[in-house]
Amino acid sequence: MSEAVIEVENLSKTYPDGTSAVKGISFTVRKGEIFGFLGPNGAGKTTSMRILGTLHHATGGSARILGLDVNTQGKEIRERIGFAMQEVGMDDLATAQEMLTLHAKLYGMNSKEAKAKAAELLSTFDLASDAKRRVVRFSGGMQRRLDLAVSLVHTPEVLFLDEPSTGLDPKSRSDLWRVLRKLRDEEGITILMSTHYMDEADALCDRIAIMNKGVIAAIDTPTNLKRSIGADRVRVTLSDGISAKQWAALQKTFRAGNVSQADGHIDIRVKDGASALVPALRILDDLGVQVRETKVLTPTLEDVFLQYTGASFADAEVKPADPKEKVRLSRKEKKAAKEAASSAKPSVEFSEVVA
Amino acid sequence: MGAVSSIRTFGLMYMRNIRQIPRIPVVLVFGIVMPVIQLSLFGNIFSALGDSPAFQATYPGVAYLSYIAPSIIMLTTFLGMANASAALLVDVRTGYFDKLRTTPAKAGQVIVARLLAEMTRVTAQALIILGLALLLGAHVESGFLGGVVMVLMSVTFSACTVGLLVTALSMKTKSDQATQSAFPLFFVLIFLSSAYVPKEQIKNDVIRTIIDFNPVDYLIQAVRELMVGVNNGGVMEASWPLDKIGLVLGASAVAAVLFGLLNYRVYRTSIEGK
Repeated sequence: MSEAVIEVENLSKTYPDGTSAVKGISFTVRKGEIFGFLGPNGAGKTTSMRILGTLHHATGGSARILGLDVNTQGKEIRERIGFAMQEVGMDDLATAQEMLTLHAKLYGMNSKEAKAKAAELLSTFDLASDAKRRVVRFSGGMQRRLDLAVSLVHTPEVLFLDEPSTGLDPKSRSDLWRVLRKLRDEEGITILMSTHYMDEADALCDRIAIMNKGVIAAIDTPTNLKRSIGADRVRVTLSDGISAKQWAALQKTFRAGNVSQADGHIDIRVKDGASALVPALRILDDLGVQVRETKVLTPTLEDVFLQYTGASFADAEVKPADPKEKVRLSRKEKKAAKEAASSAKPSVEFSEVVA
Repeated sequence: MGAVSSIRTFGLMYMRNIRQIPRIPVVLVFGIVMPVIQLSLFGNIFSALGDSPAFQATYPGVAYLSYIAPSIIMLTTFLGMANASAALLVDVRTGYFDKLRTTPAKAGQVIVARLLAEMTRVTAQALIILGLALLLGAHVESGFLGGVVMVLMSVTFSACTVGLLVTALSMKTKSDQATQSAFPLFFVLIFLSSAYVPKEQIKNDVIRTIIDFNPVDYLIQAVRELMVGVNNGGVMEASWPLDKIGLVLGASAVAAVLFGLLNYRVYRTSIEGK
């Protein structure tokens, strides 16, 4: 097993106003992994990431990044990590090139090295033709790409990405995934990311921590998580219906608890949907049941979330306070409100990418 | 290594800020429009004030324009420093300030580099106003060096008071409007002083008492003495009021420590969330 890059032990954060955002989380991320926090808004993902990225202090527990303590060795950690936050950190008054060279120099490069690094990243992220434009005029997708490029100027060993695909169109999103996979495969970079998109976690992360209300409900690979909550189902839509005799025979073959029927279709619970499909159809054919359509249903992360937290994903969202009722929102509340606003739009347009 | 890299980081941030000053033209123009208007209008409209016997008894042979030029330089540095947090606020609100916090650059370096860049801008603005005053016929009794000291003193005092206060205010509120709402407060301090009319000619006892307790008036006295000199038996003579200059610099240092601590506190609670 490769070395542990992020080690978190019972980490917690309570804000001065008494809000408990993170309530004792523990996990380990190994070198070269893409590890994802999956959870609704307000689950504590951003707070956890900001603590690990040395921007917030933890109020309890401990965390080490690359063997360094997040509460006491912030500067050493910052030299070796990159952090792209949920809100892109754009220097609105600068050009893309100025931003990249400034950051390269902040990590100790001389002018020549910094310029070379900037040129390299501009071309990697397809921004070369916009190098001398002010970033305030960039589109959301371009700003995301530049933000990521800035986070990579010093070739960090660990990359923190807080909701990296927020506001991206489907194409930019799949481009981003490609870049992240490449970083992991070619540079061996370790990535800790957060997302509230099930499909993103599923497609990109090697392991997922399901977070809800400040705690981690489960950690495993996406496949194992889905497998852990139950079997696949073969769903057969019937042309005509099924006689009592046929149904009795089906129940006998698959055992009563594994078959169910509703709305003109039959669900058969099986261990592995793909390999069970053909034998199942053969049995139905032998019984003389007319089949119009078949489908294999595997559990989704949405089902996993429901199983582990007892709440559907949408219900678990923390509802931000109405700004009119409470004039002085705390920083955290504002953040939650912003998150809710930004999550309200996309998700639908993104689902097609994964299909 | 530590010290060298600290100075380097500081220099990088300072240069970045300087490069960006011309990119917020509103701050450059806003800081200079009002002083230019005052200088060109007040110098003419109220010039009769300077010809009055009472005025001439205190300041023999001094033109009213020369009398108000130091006040208008101070107005320039106050106005200029009141905008010192505008660019910082842009960084905080765009999330760029946080982005910088993920780098080895320290927040203190970022904020102080910002303040020094703003002081550079305000110095340039104040020098423009001084130059304009001279063009219009004002005269600096203590000479070229005196003129430079006037500007630097005024910039230093304004930076340590107004500059640090607006910085704390904008980190706390993260709002332009909230920060700007404090502006009138600073200007009342200029108007409730001997800036435009000698204290001796103000009849209202209450206002005269307020002037005595207004710290800004001590700065104005020091700067004005450099500009017009002192009355020595009916003749104005060049003067270097080192005691008054020392008082102003001392007060600036005290303000810098107090408001610096305030900024540190605001930073810890509002930005770091401790």
